[in-house]
Amino acid sequence: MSETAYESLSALMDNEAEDLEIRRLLRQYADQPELQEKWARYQLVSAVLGGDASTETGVNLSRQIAQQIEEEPCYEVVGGRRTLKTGRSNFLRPMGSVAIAASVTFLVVFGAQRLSVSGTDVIPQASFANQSELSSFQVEQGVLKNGGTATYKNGYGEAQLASTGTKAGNLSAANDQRAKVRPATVKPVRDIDLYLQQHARNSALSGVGGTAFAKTAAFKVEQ
Amino acid sequence: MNDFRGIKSAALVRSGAYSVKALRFILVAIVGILPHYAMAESHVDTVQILERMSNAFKNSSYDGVFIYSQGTDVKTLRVIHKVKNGVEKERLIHLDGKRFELIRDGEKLSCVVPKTSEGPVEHKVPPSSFAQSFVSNVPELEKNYHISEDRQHRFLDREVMQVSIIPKTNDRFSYQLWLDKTSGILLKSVLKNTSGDELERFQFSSLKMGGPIPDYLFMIENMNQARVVNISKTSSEKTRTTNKGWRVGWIPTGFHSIMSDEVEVAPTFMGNLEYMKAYSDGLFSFSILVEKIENFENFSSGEHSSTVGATTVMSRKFTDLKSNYSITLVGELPVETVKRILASVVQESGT
Repeated sequence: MSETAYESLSALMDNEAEDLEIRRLLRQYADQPELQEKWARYQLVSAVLGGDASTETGVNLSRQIAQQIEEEPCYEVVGGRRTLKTGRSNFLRPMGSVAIAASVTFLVVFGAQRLSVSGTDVIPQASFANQSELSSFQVEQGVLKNGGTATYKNGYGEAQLASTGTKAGNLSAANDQRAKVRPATVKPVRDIDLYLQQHARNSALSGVGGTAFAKTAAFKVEQ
Repeated sequence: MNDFRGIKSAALVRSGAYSVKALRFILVAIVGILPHYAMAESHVDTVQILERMSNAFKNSSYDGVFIYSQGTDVKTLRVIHKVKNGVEKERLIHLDGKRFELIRDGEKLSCVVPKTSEGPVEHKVPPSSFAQSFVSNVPELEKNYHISEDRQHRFLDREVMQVSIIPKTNDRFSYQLWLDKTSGILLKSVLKNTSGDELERFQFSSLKMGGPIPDYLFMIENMNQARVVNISKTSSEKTRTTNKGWRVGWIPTGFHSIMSDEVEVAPTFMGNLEYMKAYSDGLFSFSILVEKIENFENFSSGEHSSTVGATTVMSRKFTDLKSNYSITLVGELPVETVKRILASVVQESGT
């Protein structure tokens, strides 16, 4: 395919192509698979950059990966010496698979991150966001002292409140269809120290050390 | 000539490409293989270190002052511990605020409060001793956390080992420990949230170890200004909860129930408590309590969560045709994980 065609394609993507160029490009498009592929790739890049790509891109990486592996020169031990060989070799196959695994991991991780934005499984990201919200709230609002206990009413905005409620509802529904109740949280019905104490007893029963130890030191002692 | 130059440079480019590839393979080999050897060695070490730490608090004699911080709240305490003729003695003194001490002599436990104070103190007494092991089940811990020895440096004028306990999933907190290289005792620990912010810290500011701990250090000073309450193990009532009728639909990976049907319930909860279950992953734990409530009019709704350091308390209401319930989760977990567990608690069908 000619350089002119690539340039025209590039210009078209940037909305800068002349009418004549577009017409020529469309003529060439039909019988040039190379151009078709390139156009599709440009569209994909444009969509990804624009943030509106769906996860189903239809891009088949297997052929390119297979081709890369085929072309990759490999080391081979011949008579105790390492030589380079462009054909297949068993010696460094494990290494090769490490590298491939890494690139596949990258793809999977990248995909997973994008998926989780719209999925119900929001725990990792939400948890990160939530923690910073909490700490910033503490800094902004101060801490209402209740003896040795730092207590505060969580000050999520109305919008956030609604969204977390929905997410929790989704999770609940996903886990169990019988969970009809959307979990509206309420202020604990008793002094939270009572819950903390009961939890400390529960933990101690099992001999779970880490936090029982912490609770030992931090137990509320005010009379 | 030009052709020759072209061939030569092409050959140079090719050999250059090969050496870059060779270098890449060597790097992959170093990066890929070396950590396995390092991990194999440090794996054994960290398990031994943690098991040693578990025993160090119980079997050593020491006298130290430490701080314990939870968020903005910082407490200073002194701990004196010794083992004499196989009997463990421990004195834990709160150095800030009103007088509060706990003295353990084997099975005997006394609580020291100001003479002017009134009312019961039993419920204020922690269920376990300070010397209780930090980590009870190292193999279980390994299933859910990456344990690694980071580096060795100096803390409190001692050679220490720094150990990280990082969760394999992003739904719980992590710990960093600083352990005395000689004795294995924990000198400092920091509990961090998923963003790496510090939530709780334990840290000795002075520690005397190894030498004899005289008996008089366990004597109560200023007896005329003190009220000493003997706490008997059987004083608290035990009730049997049926633990039926409710189901926790989702718990984070690696957590398992640590509670039998017979559980010790504080008198405050008796009568109302429908269900109680506790779970642990070997390091952190959480409890779920379901209480029957007359009505919710007195309880403001909206998003509420209370946190004390790493511990979160969160309640949710549940209403069926007959009654109102409050489902509360208390445990050392990120708020988002707490919400998810709480949302999954459901009434078993047919109740």
